[in-house]
Amino acid sequence: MPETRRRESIRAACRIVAATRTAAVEPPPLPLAAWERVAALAQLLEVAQARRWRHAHERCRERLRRAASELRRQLDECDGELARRTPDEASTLRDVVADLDALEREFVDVRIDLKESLLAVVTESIVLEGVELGPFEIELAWDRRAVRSFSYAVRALSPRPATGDESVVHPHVRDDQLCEGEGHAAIRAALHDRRLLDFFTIVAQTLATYNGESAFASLEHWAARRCTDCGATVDDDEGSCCERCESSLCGDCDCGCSSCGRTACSTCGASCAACHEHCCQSCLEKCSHCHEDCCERCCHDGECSICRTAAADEQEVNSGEAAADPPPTPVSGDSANAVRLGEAALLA
Amino acid sequence: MRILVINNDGGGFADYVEVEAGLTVQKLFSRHVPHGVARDYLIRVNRQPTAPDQVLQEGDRVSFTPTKIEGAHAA
Repeated sequence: MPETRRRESIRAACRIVAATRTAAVEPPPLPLAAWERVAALAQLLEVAQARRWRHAHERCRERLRRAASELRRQLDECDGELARRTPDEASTLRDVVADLDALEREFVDVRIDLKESLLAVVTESIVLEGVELGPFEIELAWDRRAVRSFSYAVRALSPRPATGDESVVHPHVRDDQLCEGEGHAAIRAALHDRRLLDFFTIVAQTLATYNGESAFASLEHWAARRCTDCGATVDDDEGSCCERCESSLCGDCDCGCSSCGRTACSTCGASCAACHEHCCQSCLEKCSHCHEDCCERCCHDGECSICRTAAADEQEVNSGEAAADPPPTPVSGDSANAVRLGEAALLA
Repeated sequence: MRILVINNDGGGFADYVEVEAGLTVQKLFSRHVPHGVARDYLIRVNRQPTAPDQVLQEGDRVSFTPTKIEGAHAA
């Protein structure tokens, strides 16, 4: 390890130990709010029982059971924190430095930001059941002013969110927060003891594991095709592909070229400026006058129908102005005769 | 002799324990993770990957971290 990096690690370790020393002696919070909720629901249950409200009684009983379960969970957590080693036994400065050294070996990249009080590691690309989610950065922040000295975030470095929810970049990560599940107690214990290597390893292993029964979004949301034009999910049995770039299109965005009939996405096709029909790029031509894309039906000799009509109108106006003060010109030929015949008929 | 044992399975046990001299990593693993299979864990001695038959030394730091940890959101 280069000397400058080594110094940075030692400096970071010093700051981490200093920032977490105060918090380590804080007693765990008691679950008083959870207890008050249990007591309130028990009272409601008594009332429902006394008045023989069967439906209300059943609902209160279920709510009380859930509240009691939550109280038990919080008490277990409190008990676990009290049972842990005393602050004096938590990792020493030497241990934290050794952890930082080990992180360099265990992870693709390690970033120390002393100014922002951040330590971050980058995982290998995460692949769950064949679905590639890319590498993730686990960022741990320490702050002596915070009630809980450590906080962390998990970010996708090449985000590939679930279809329909941009905030879910991993089945167990939403808005940069990991749902720790089985790892919860071990993560808390590792942070409490300042075991940084263990903390990052547990989070990385949680990211590398898929629990389909309790995910923000199941992996099917990544496997599903997405419409290139509107972003909607495309089921296997519906929609189609753009015949030029082969991107997926949903039923609503699947429209063929009005000239050749081939399917084209909005990138590979466009609307004709004149008739507004959807066309693929091969069937569009640029008008030499207005430079707009027009379909083959609307474009003749390099000029679109809009420009042709405009030119004709202009010509008509010009000829009208000329007719208001017509020079005496000799008329001859069949067409001239036809006009005269028409005029004769009207006059008759 | 005294070693630090860290079991990152479940509650995240970490404490110093007294063990007999000549104890191997495999035996320590069986003792602390009785229902576990070694291949399902990252086993480190002094933060380095290790062989199952490595004999432990005084003051070693041994950690067991499951390779599969299921995340879950609160119901």
